[in-house]
Amino acid sequence: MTRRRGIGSIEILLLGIFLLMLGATLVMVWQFSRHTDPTTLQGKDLIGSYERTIEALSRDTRMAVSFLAGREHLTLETVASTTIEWGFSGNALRRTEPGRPPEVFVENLREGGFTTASTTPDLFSVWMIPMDAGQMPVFTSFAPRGGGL
Amino acid sequence: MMRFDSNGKAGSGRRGESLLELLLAACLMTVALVPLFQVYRLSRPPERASDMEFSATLLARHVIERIIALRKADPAYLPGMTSEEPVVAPADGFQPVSEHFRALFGHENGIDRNELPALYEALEPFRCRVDTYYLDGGHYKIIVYIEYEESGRPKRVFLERLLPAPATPDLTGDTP
Repeated sequence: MTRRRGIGSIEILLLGIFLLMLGATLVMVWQFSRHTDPTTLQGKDLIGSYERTIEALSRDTRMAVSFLAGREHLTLETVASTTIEWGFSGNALRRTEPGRPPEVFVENLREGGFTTASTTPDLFSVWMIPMDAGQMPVFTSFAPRGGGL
Repeated sequence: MMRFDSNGKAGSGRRGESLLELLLAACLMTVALVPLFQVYRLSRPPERASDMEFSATLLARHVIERIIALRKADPAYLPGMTSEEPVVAPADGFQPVSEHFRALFGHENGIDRNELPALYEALEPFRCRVDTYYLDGGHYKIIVYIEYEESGRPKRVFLERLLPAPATPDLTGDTP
């Protein structure tokens, strides 16, 4: 007869492993469900709004053949001969496209505008300063591609 | 065969495992956790960039777009290499502003402290450096670095762009 001594049982250990794997699987499913829909993250914070704006401006300038930049308004002429307008008004940045309602991209701005430099007529810059002084202002530029790269 | 548990009682159907068996099982469990951890890491939402990193990326983007705009105006234009230079005129005024950030807002030195103080202060910590290389196949590579300090540590963001090098005269042909 064998007399065995031990400090636990394999069943308890297996149960522990099972519970651990079950917990990890549930966490994974929760995480996947949380970020498979990218729109849930958009607009929730200022960086999200900025990112969405930069993406939309990139898309528009990729298809733009020319632009007209004023202090608070930007007009882009696309290869399809449509006009896309971006403008700062009422502390917000809006995009307007024919046949679609105006879309607000960034809100609660203290200041914002478009600018061009005499040395680079094919480039326009956009800058935004949020109302909350603790939030980050941004500055970047875009060159119309006319449908090319 | 009758078994005894750790208390020496017979016939209960439960038996204690030896320490060695438990350690082996723990080892197996640890190995099983590796793929679980990997899947957990993959399923995690991407980390959001810090404000500074995001701003640096946009500044690098400005430089790349400016180079593209200059190339559009003059297909022979190629940017030169630059050392680390501030993107706004520093308060001490010793270092020149990076050429890619000059002439903005109608000022020779770009963003002006008095005109847009919030933007000036936000961009003051950043410095710009451009590296360029000729590559085989007639390409010209540009790497734009935007450097800054965050939490006392130097950091940098970079963007690359490959441009076709301007056509060079064919020197291998027959001389007329």
